Amino acid sequence: MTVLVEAIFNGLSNSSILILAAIGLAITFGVMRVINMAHGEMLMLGAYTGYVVTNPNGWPELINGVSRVLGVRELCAAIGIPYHVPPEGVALGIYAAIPIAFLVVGLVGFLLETCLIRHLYDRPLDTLLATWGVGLVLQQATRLVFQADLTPLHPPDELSGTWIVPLTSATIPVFRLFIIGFTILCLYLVYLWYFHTSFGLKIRAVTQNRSMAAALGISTRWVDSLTFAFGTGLAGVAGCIVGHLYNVKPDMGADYIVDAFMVVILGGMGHLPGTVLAGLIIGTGISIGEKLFNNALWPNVLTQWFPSWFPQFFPVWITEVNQTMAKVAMLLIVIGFIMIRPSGLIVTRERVYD
Amino acid sequence: MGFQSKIVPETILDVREVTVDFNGFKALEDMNLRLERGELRVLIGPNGAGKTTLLDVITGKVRVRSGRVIFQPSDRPTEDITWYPEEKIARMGVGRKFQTPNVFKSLTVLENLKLALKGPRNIWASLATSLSQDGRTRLDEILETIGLAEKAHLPAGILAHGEKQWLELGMVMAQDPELLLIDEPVAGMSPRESERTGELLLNLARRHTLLVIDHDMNFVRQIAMRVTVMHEGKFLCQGTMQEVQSDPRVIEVYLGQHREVAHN
Amino acid sequence: MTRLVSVKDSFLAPPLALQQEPGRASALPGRMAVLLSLVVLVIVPYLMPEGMDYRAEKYWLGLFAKYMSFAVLALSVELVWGYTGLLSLGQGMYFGLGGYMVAYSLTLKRAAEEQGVAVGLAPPQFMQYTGPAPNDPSYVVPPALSWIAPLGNAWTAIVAAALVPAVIALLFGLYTFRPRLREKPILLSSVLAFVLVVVVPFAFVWWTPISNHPILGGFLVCALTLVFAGGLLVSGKRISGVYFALVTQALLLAVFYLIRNQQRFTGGVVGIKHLSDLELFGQAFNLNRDIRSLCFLVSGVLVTCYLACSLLVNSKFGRILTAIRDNENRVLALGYNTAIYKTFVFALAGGLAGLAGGLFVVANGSAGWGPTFLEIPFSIVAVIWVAVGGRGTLLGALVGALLVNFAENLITSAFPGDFWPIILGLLFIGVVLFVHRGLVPLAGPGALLGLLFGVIGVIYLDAIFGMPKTGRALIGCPVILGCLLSPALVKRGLAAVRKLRASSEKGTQHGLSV
Repeated sequence: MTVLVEAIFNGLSNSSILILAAIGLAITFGVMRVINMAHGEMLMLGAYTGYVVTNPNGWPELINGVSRVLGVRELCAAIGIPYHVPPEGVALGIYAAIPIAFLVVGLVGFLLETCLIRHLYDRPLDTLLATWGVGLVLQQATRLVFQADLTPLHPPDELSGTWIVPLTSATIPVFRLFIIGFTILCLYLVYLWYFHTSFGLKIRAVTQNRSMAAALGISTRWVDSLTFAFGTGLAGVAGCIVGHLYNVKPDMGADYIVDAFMVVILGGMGHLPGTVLAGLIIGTGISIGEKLFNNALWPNVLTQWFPSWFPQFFPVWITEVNQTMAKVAMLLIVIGFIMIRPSGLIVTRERVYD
Repeated sequence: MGFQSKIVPETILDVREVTVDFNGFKALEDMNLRLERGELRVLIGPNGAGKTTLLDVITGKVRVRSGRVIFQPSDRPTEDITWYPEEKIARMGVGRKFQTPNVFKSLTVLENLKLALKGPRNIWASLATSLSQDGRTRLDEILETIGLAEKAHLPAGILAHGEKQWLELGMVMAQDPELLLIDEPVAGMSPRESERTGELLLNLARRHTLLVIDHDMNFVRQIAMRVTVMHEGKFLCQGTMQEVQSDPRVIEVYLGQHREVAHN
Repeated sequence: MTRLVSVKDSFLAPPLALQQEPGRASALPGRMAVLLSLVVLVIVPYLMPEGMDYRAEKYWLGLFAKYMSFAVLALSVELVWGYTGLLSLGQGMYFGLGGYMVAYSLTLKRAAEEQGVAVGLAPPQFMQYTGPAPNDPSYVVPPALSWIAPLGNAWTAIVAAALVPAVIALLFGLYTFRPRLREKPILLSSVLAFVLVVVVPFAFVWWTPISNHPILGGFLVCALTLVFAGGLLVSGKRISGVYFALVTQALLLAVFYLIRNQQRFTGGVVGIKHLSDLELFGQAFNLNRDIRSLCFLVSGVLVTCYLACSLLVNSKFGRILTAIRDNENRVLALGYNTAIYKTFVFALAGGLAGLAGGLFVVANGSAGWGPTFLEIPFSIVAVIWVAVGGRGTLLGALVGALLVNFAENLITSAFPGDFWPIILGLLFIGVVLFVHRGLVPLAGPGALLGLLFGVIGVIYLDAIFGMPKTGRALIGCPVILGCLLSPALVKRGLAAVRKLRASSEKGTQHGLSV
């Protein structure tokens, strides 16, 4: 019972992180059909924004790092202007960090769209390559500025305890609960924004029939930019949350980008509820897989459930199987599924003209 | 042989009770169509009547919900091609010219035709064989017919719209199919070009069975022997151009449309 | 009339049209330039400056050998992406698998040399074997070793390096592009499914030594056959374009996790470091002792692959690939089974990439082999080479691979601050935005020749003046790029001169007539 409850909560919080990372992608990739390989780096930027905002040393570290990389100090010395080390900033909490991360990363996304992606709308594969280049630049720039990897950020006190589930002895970190709740909130906001605001209506109009929407007087450029900014902003939010759980490092985005793409494709392009469903399936799937693929479980199952003539190969295979194998298996299953049904879990059949 | 086929008209294509469903929208509903060998049939109907979908079904691009498509090649037994893959249907002798010019833009005109030229379609053949003398003369012939001999070595992507349409027709000729499905051959052509296209089609009709979709009534009058009218995914009526034009249902369908247009 | 048409054409035509015109006179110099550059590629060891000390020679020729094996990988990306339009972000997977084949071979040889037994008997270092020594009577060959023992033979390893990735790519291609099986009788497909899902894994398990030990693929064999058989039976929409790119990437990631995780079979994160020399025809290819023959080996393979690929893409097969890139539906409507063509070219490219990986292990020498080449970025970088060099030209693959890697070497050795990724990223954005077709269409068929002379020129400069690394990078990069583009500049210049002369002649004629 305890194990089960813990596994469920673990799976739910894993799914929440995956959904948070993927929901922005579901908007930029699923709805707008822009393949943003820098999405992982947007996540990373969100985490670093969280670090800078919540840590009193963050702000001076950022300024010092940038001036070191650009050689500002040497420049100042050469010109003769005194270089002041910036004073320590005010540490704001996670509640302030999340909206700030959203705005900062959204702005980066806005710039990315207007400067680069806009010119590549008719060449999706080139968008993929160019945005990967952007990701590389961002990643390396961050590495140069904040040299060492950081430890996870500290959540505020009220979120850092554990919660004992009533009737069981299962203990769950409060922060995981917070993530689940926060994800639901985010999804609700996105739902409102997408389906119940005039801007959401415009997005749907533009993505479904661009020229018609333009003819109706909708500024498609503006809609594109803002939608993209919104999607990347969500990635920033996700990064800010993830930064409180795992190490904040320049290549942290790489851990999520492939999974997030798989979630979006599995859910069906442009199908936001599908994305949530796919996130739940993959997230819980990996958690359950991690529980299944361990050395203690299989020998018992085999000796008890299977007849004696059945080849006893599972236990010996499983000896080298650990949690990474759960991820491998999940990836392979998802790949197989996508190849059989590229349109994802929820399919709509459409007429195609050529 | 020729007499025989005149006396006992042989069916080449039989579309039986075909229904196609796009998310509940019935693009085709119990559609029937029967073509005889050597005939030139024109398929007309208002927008959204399901004409292009019907061609998609015949070529295997769109799958049916129910119904069957039966094809009778001249040298082989009759086959139910409903569930055959696209390329197999094409190899059996069903050629298609798409609505928009659909040529390979980075290949030259000649290479486009070479790819279309009738012959083995497997990998080993494509690796090993070079063009035979027969093939070469055939290609020259086609290049002359479609009037692109001078541009044979230009990439097809830079041709004008009408030239691309002709190149497509040339590719279909090179493919030499038994049954040829042509989707709007004169769309976007000048009257003179479309007249010439009509001649090309009539020329083709001597050797192939043709199923042509078009809207342009003048053009249809120029080429058609028999006309089939479709409406909202269903068979409406069939006959010569005169018969069809005087059919009250056809008038209703087209006039009804006109009335709507007038309202708009 | 004809004149009018030709004028119109020259306005409409992109530069490509003029290049593709099969005028013999215009094609011949280009072909000669390509042949000449291939010859230069092979004789590079003889073009090193006289009296260069061995360390410098080893350094530069070692780089050449490594980058030429990358060029083979670039050729495979070129076939798949440049010609067929399938962007594979997982080409590094095949490169890596090929690399492991040769690395196994070399490490087996090394273990046998060290422990004084026949090749294939001694457990190599990465297995971390702790038991009786091979010459002990109680020694039992570890099952994991008995699996890779056949690779001890160098030729087997090389064949495996090409064949194993090719077969995996073939299976992946079959599964992805799915030549539809629905037309086959139901009975046949169910038998096939049964064989794939049940018989193969069971036979695998009972028959082979795997049943005694945890082979890394054991569990995966089952999963893969299951998914594979299921996929083959289902007809319907097939993935393409962006989906293909993302799926290949995801598969690469899965294989990377797998290999990194299975320490006892692959050496895990560290990889396989204790390698011996490759020996073929009684000739050992060693980076430290005989760099020239190593260079010849790699360049020979590269040139052979290049020529084979160019035969392939210039046949009707190549035209069909291009046609698939342009408009796959039309190719289908012409009756070609595009799925088979795509599968074939994907398998071929997989084999090429595997061969490249094997070569790289040899060229990398004692630095060893690890799973870094299976990481996601490396595969994308391989795509960058092709994008920089030029899509749809085989020459572009060679030029891109050599240019980007030499630039990387010059820059990283000069600026240790790790600015290279930023430059690479910017380079990529720039190429995609501004030089969309790549450098070779810009520079013409002399590009590779120019590039090689540029690189050799930099080596000479380095040998003669003994520049500091910063200076070498600052001077070297522009020199190489300039040399690369010089054929185009020369051509443009000649054309301009000719035009000027023509117009002046015309002018004088006019003058006379007036």
